[in-house]
Amino acid sequence: MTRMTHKMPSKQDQPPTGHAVEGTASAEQPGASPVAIPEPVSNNRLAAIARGENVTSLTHDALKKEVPVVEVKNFNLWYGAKKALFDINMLIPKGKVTALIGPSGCGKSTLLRSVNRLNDLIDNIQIKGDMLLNDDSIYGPGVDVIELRKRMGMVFQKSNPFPMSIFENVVYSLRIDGERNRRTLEDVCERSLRGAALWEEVKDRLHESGLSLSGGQQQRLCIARAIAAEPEVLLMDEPCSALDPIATGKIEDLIQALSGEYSILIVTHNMQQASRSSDFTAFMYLGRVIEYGPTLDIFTKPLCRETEDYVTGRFG
Amino acid sequence: MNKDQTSFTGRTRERKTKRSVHFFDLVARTTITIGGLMTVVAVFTVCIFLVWVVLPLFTSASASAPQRSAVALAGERPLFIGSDEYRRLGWALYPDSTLNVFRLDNGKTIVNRKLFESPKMTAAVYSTQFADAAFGFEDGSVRLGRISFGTSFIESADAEPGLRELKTGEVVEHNGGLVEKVPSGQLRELALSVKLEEAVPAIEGTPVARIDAARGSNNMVFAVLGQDGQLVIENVRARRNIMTGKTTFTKQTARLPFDKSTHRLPMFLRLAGLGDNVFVAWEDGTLVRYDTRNLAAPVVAEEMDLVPEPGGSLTALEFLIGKATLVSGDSVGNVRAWFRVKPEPVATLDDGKQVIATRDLPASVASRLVHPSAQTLPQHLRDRAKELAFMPSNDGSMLVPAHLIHTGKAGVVALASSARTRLLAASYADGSASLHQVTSEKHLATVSSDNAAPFTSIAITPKDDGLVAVTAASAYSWAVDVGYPETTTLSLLGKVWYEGYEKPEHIWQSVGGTDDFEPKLGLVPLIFGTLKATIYSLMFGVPIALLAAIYTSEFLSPRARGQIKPAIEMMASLPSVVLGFIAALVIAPAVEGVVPALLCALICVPLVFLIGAYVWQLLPYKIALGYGHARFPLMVLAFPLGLWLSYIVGPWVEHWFFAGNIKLWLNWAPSGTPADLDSAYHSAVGGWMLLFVPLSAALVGFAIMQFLNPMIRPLASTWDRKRAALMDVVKFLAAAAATLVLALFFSAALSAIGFDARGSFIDTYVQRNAMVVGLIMGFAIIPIVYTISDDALNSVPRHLRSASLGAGATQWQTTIRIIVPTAMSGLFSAVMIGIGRAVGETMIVLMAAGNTAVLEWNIFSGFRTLSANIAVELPEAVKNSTHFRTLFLAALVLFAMTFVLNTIAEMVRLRFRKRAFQL
Repeated sequence: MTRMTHKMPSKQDQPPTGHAVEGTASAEQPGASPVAIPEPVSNNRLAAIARGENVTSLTHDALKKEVPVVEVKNFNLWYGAKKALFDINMLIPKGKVTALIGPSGCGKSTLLRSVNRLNDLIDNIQIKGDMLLNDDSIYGPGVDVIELRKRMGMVFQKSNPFPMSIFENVVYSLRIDGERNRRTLEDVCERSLRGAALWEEVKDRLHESGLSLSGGQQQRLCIARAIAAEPEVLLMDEPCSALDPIATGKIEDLIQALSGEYSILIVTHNMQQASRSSDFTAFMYLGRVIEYGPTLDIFTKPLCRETEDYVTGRFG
Repeated sequence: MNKDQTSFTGRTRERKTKRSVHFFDLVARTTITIGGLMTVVAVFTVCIFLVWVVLPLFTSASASAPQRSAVALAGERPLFIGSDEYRRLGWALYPDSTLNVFRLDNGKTIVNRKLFESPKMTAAVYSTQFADAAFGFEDGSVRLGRISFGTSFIESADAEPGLRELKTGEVVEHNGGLVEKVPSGQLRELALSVKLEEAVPAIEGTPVARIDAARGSNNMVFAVLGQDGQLVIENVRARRNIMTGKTTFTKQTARLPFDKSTHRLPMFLRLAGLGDNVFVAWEDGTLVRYDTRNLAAPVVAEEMDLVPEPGGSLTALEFLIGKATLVSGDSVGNVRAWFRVKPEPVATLDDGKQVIATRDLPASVASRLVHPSAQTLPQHLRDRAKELAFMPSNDGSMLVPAHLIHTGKAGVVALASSARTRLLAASYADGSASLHQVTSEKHLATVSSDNAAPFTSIAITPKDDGLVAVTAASAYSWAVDVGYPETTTLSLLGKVWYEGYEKPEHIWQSVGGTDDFEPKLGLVPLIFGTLKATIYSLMFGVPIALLAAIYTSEFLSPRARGQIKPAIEMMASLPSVVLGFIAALVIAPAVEGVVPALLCALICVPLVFLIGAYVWQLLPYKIALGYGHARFPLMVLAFPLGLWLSYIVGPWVEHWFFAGNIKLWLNWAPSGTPADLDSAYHSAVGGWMLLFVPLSAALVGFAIMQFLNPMIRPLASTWDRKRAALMDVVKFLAAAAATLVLALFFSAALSAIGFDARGSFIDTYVQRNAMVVGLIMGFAIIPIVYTISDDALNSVPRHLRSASLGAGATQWQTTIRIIVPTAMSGLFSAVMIGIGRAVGETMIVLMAAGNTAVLEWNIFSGFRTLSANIAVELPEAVKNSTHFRTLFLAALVLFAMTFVLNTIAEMVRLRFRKRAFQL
């Protein structure tokens, strides 16, 4: 059976006592429709965050027009007693590339890994709030995590092909679903590898080990593996951070090629990468989403000074 | 910034490394190098030492150049010759009863006297083992006697003047003996003593023609053949009255059936060691064996031909030590060793005669061959046409030519056996002589005379360190270093035909109760025992350890794992002697009473686990999720529940499958009679079930996975959870039933066509057996296999696990498809190290395995491992004896086994680790 990793849903209702105040405060915010409040740009946002005060995130109006694939609603997350995510409310638009930027430790990866519940594997994690994947609850009681994960694909920071052949790597998700038709498998393999722009390079050595590829090829192999599963959303956790500039360029081209077809949520440290390859960008800081809007606006005319400071490299 | 400060931190770094740092660096490097080298040297030293102790076993014997001395001998062929234990003096007894004692160095006769003047001696026999002699006389009387060298030491001060001036090593004749100054300064006097007992009348009115005697613990048996053909065996029993101290003799006499009118007078009369057999042999090779166990009614047991070669004649017939093996020498140059064996009868014919079957046809017993096509033979014997069926002799045993020791062109002249081991010397008509070990058939030395004159008589010196032989004119002596004649590579690792055994066998039996016991040093039973212990304990320990490692590393929460892992590792700290003690004194007796229940537990415990898992699926989803943390305690509970269930089911299983008593069922063996077929124990179904239940389970599981599941999957995807779970339960129960039916079918089929598992992996139940050892040694290897496997599984990079789970695989799929293949090297070396531990384990097997060196896979019987054998026997072994060195060889074999296993483990580990580095 498939429910090995599911956390007890009852825990969601019991955030650690030390953070009870924040929990109740966040409930006042209407989660489904984040509104950009045109409040004056203040200088002390960071200071307020540091004091532990509640800070509302600025979401640009452009996002209202988008159809969401993932909706994050009042999402809070604790690692033991340490709170890592504060009242996240976000819409991830369908068919677009959304980038999460922010300094190290701001919770980008945590948020990303919360979408497919990979954080469940960590002990002591507690969650309040919910996410929706195409209107289906992700954290609701009675959700089958395995079925949920089958609807998403994930690409990790470090390329992680399985120690098996390139072919088997790509069709892994089909294998675990019990697919045995050789034609189907070969078909999917070729399509996925073409989709990941790797087909021409590996078509003659599909049965060599996936580990024999170079770093950039390995990462594209992982992308092929992810898209072979026909995911509704593709999660990418700093997919280029371990690659050289040429390989990075190839992956970025690939991301752009995939956008439109796939909804992509990408975490990146590299602001040029975010500005080059994403449609929307969210700036996160200390577990909060500070500002979220179209990439062009975030990089050229952010509403927040903190965002501006960050994207221009003045801090972070 | 202060201008005086030259550096950022405020201090100037010294650019030169301190001398003390260099010094300690050097010290550390040297120490570590020395330590490393010492380790290597230590391991090699152990290995070299073992080889150094073992090597002499395989060196060949050597004989010195002869010491030849012309001796004024009677010119006649002596009846017997002998020498003292220092090889200084020789003696010879001639047919006219002349006893000649001569120096071996210069041939000078010291004593020459006639033992008996009147009545005339007409027959004599001498046994080297006890230095006993028996003489027969023309008046029909016999005298027992003893011919031996006596040694006494004289202090120099008390010696006669002529002796005091002797230099060390110098020898002089003195009083009919020799005096020699030994290095310790004493004078050693050496003289032949002949003690004779009173004459006893044996046969009436005719001279004694042949005589032989055998000494028992409190009796003396002798067989006497008169010139007129009377063959008499007499048993003289001495009984000493404890109160009066007087010894009384009781004499029992039996006349053996012997008809001189049909036979000429035989050449040889031989009496077996216990007086239970009398052998009479003629020059043409005919031998008649009498069974004289019952002196009131002695019978002719068998008659056979010792010289099957055409034209050959029997020239010599001697006993080996123990007087059970007869060695025959013939005129065509063959030396054969014969002993009695008692083969198991394979069938009884209608007329009550028993039939034995053998592949090795002794040509000489061909007359008793029962033709395989004979209608009187049972069908199953006729089927085995290649094996030949014989009628055994009248007493159920038969004399077989077990060893062909020598073949040559020159006829055998004389034979002599050793007084302490199974060495045999033979002299040939071409003037050569050879020394052999009979059991191993190892040729030790060949010597020859100067002028091709045949040695008319030969003897092995009392300490087995030399040969003495005489030709018509000269006496020869050789110093021989026989080395370790019992061992050859073949005798250590191959089948050897030991005295009294039906056929060549692998046997380890190093010590016996009597002086003439022959150590049986076959390593195969010990190596086999080691493998048996290893395999049965791995069968139990490895699956548990690997599954436990997979469970804790992949399914259990890290916190619970943090508690369970040290607990399992703590099991390793239990001393194996404690485990062995518990196994032998608690587990073994307890298991003996509940064998069927224990066998059931192998099926019941997993069954209860699986049923529990399926029932859990039936629970409403919310409860199943909400009480997820209760799963582990429930699983733990399943174990006693399974045991309890098997305890309940056990007696029923015993009743149905094992005729109500598993031990009797195991013990039962078919003897081919019709009554056996009706016996409740005849059915072999129960034994096969043990094998076929797991096999059928695997088969059914595979069939479901391969055929049923793909059919059900499209249907099941439309069902809700509850329905699918219910379907799973039904599927499982059906599969369990199918497994049982399938196993029953296979077992019944095999049983019906006559195959029986008894005699293979199950057989007679012994309290301390492989199953108990398997349980306990399995328990002992679990911690190490578990720990290494768990570490191996945990060292699989986390990102692989995440990638697989992120792709929507379940934890089980992730484990089977990604984690286990990646960790395979670690799992493999864990198992190999477990094997290494099981191979070398000593105390558990020593205490719980019964230490019987038997060669059978029977899980219910004991065994003896190399390690336990060394532990038991090395303290008792005489230093530098064959036994001692063979035990070192056993240690070397053990060392080689563990070395090879660990090397393979390490090589595989390194090979796979290279791959793991890329991850």
